[in-house]
Amino acid sequence: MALSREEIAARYSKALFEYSEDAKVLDEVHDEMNVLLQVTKANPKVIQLLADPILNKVEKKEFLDTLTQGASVETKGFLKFLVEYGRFNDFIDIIEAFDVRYNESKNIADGTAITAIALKDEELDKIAKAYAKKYGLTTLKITNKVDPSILGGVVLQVGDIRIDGSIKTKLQEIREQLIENK
Amino acid sequence: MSIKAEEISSLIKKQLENYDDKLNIDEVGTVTYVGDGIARAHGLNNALSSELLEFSNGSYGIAQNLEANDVGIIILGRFDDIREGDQVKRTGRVMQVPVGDALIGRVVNPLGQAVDGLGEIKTDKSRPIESQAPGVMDRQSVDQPLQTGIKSIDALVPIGRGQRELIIGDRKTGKTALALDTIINQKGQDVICIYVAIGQKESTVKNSVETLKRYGAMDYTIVVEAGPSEPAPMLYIAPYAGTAMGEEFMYNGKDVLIVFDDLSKQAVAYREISLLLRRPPGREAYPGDVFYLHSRLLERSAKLSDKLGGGSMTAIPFIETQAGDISAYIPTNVISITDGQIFLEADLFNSGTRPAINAGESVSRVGGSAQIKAMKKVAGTLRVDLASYRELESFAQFGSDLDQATQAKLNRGRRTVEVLKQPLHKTLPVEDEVLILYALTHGFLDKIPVDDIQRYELDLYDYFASNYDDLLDVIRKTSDLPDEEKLNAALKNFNEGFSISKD
Repeated sequence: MALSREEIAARYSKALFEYSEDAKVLDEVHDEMNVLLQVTKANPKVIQLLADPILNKVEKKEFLDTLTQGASVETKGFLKFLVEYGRFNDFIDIIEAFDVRYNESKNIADGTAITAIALKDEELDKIAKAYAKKYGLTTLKITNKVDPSILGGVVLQVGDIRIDGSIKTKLQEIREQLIENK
Repeated sequence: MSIKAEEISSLIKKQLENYDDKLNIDEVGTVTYVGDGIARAHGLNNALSSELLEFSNGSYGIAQNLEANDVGIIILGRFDDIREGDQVKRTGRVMQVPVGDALIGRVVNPLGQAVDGLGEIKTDKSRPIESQAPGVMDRQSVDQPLQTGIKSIDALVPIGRGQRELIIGDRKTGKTALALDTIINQKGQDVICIYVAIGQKESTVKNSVETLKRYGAMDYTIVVEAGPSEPAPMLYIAPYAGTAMGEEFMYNGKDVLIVFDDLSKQAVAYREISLLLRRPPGREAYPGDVFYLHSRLLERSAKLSDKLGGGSMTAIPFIETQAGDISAYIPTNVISITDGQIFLEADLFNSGTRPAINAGESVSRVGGSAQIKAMKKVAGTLRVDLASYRELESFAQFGSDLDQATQAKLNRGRRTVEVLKQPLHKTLPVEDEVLILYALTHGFLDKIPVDDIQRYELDLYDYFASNYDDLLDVIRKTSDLPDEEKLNAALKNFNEGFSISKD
């Protein structure tokens, strides 16, 4: 049976993580991979090209060289390895899994704060610090998402945990309570 | 009538006082697949097996498969408005149903919600639908009879309180009728009955409920209903929900009778769920744990030790066979779990022997200890008599020259079969059963033509009720036979007065 996307991502990201950790370039590789991830997300053709089975591997590697100019040896090596094994299709999944692993090891997390109006950076920072303190994280990186339908308050989602402090939910609860006690 | 704004606002204010403003911290996952009563959700890394989960449309689900990247969930309720990308929330609870006296006389769905239109069921107690069966030290052996009021069952395959007796047979062989009769006969016996209808046609369930009402049996009966139009998870949990309702009474020292009509449909519903959850199919495409599905359910029916109150739950599961094949997967499983089976046969049913119990194939592993003394005495040889009659019957078809002994045996056999017939919903008190079986085994029926036996029976009951009630009373009070001389004399008197029909 073919491996599922999750299994491929788990295996390759684990390999990348341990390899770069052993070579003591973990932070460097992580930053470079994230830049590459943004590039490939912006230009989906890059992955199409590198995963194309018809194209010659030598040509692909030459193209990779121009793409990764200035990157570390480890990053270059890993990308060439992906081309060699024909797994470039799963590049985004692998890097995302790598990111999760990296965050876990550094005790940091990514989260989203949904609000009715856009928050200022210092406000986001305050939320992040409070959350990090409560859950014993070193840092929490928050992105702000605006959704006017929650009316007010904040919904903070980090991984599987959702802290719902929105006005919409509270109104809903009041409504349920009123109906229940009629 | 005038509505005062101040009054309403003060009422609302009062209720809002208890509103406590706290943050909701939930663990959520994202739905990645929905279909036919099941869903898969990504995330929910800490969800526990069989934990109750809540979807954003308000439906609940039970976590079934915990896998590396996702959770397989069975949905209890509406799933047509759950979409891919919706959130699922952990609740930290397991599935529970309301239990207690308020349920008696009601028709509920497997979630314990009323479906009989008689309004909300007010009960403050609930029990988890899955719970551990009582262990060895919590039980005692079954020794108290549960009278079904059906002669052939009480005489040949007696059922004790706390026993699990399977009723197995093809469709249309009178399985449901047997169960309904048994429930009807529990009137005044201080037994609470639970009838779990799984995948039965709604019209059939309606009929059953009407029948129970007509005989006053709804006063001590709960009907749990999961219709065929409901999603498979509801059919799957129905027997567990019914058992949880029964456990509440059992652990409070009461006697409970629970009927599962029928478990083959539940197994089919479970197969559907399992295949959709991508569990590997085994024999007949059932998943590997289909034995456990039924064994853990039926183990919960027990006779509790006196320390735990001595309550009991008697289970009567049904299995529907295809063309009498009791060696199919589910029938063999359930036969091996239960303490005996009552095998109903289509041929017998069609030839007019109703209830169509096949005496040879039916057994009760509890046996004589679930009979009163008097019944034990009169029914002791019945099974052997019937077996030898069936054997001789096929021989007798070949030749006409039979010796006296064989003739007598055939004679007795024919009358035995006739006596064991019983019309629908005409259950008998145990003393009447003992009386007719005594008359049979002591030769009082040998001179009565087979066609007259039904009439003989009815007349006999009337005659004894008006002339020899003291003898019946002895059976009722002491559970033993009255003085045999008196009984013989009484029967002789009756026989002399009984006129045999001419043609």
